[in-house]
Amino acid sequence: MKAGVRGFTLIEVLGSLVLLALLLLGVYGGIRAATQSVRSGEAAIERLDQIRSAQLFLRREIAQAQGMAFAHTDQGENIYFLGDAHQMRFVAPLPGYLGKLGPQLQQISFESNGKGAKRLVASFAILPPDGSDPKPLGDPEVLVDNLRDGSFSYRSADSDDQPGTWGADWGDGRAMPVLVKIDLDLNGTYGWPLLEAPLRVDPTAAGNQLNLLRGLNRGQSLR
Amino acid sequence: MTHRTGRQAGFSLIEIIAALLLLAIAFAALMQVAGGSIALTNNAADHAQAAMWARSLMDSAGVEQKLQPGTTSGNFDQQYRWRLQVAPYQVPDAGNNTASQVYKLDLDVYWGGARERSAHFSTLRLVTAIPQQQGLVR
Repeated sequence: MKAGVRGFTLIEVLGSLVLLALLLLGVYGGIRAATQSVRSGEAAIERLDQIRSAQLFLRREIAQAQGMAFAHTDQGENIYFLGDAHQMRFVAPLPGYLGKLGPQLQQISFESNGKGAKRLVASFAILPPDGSDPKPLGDPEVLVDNLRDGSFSYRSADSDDQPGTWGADWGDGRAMPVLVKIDLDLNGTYGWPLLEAPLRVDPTAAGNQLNLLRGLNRGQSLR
Repeated sequence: MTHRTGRQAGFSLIEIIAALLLLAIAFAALMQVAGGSIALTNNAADHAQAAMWARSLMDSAGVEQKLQPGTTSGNFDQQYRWRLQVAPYQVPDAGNNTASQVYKLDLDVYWGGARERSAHFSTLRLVTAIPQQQGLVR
């Protein structure tokens, strides 16, 4: 040992390397856990956003459903609203920011998402003013992805002698339901808060609308 | 510590331990922040779900059954419970209009077991006493 300069022994170097490695391992583990939790948190926020925007969209479109006929029965009567447990069709205007003007025929339905689960989609069609068949408009939009199952149900208007009832089928398209219920069974951590949306048909929207309104389709004094 | 020329002074054990401790504390604080953000996200998600439940209940209140003053309560699902208070509401400066009545709907949504949390929602609803037929036919 000349001039008092003495290096570390091999054992000391190895020992310190092991200590450093352990320390770095701990730090790395912590960072990885943090990254993972950020990623899963982002996925959860995205999922919740999807649920919220789907609810917002469905609620607004159902509330704005208009008494505009998109088809006719064999007797020539107007059809305004058709639905069963897995799809429904009605006419409502799209929000302005989508840049698609005027009322559209909307179809909300379930389809397979190709990965063993289902998804809720909305497709739109223009109603030509000359009364010809609706023209499809673009590809269906996915509202909620990755769900096990789902169903729609409809409540009829109260009549004079009995309250309305819930049913999974709205086969008579000449009147409109007062409430629509959308129940979805989602995969993942978040549940689907049951969506109940009332229809708010505007009686002043068009000439022949009054008998669509809830409580008004009694057939009296409205012809 | 003695300083001799040509001899470099290393860190002492105490200094190393202090440095490691500082690192550990800083890292623990960082983890705490990350965990806190997750808890906040969960909290926000719970509130968002409560708001969606509340919206459906508020929207369909008075459609299925006529609004009656009083308190009703129930469960949305296993997690969320609700209590709805309906009370007549006097509109300030309004004349005595018997044809319609404004109701104030106060909805509280509760969730969480040991640490119960809640959200409050409130709205006004106009109920016309006269049948709609008479109101709409010209």
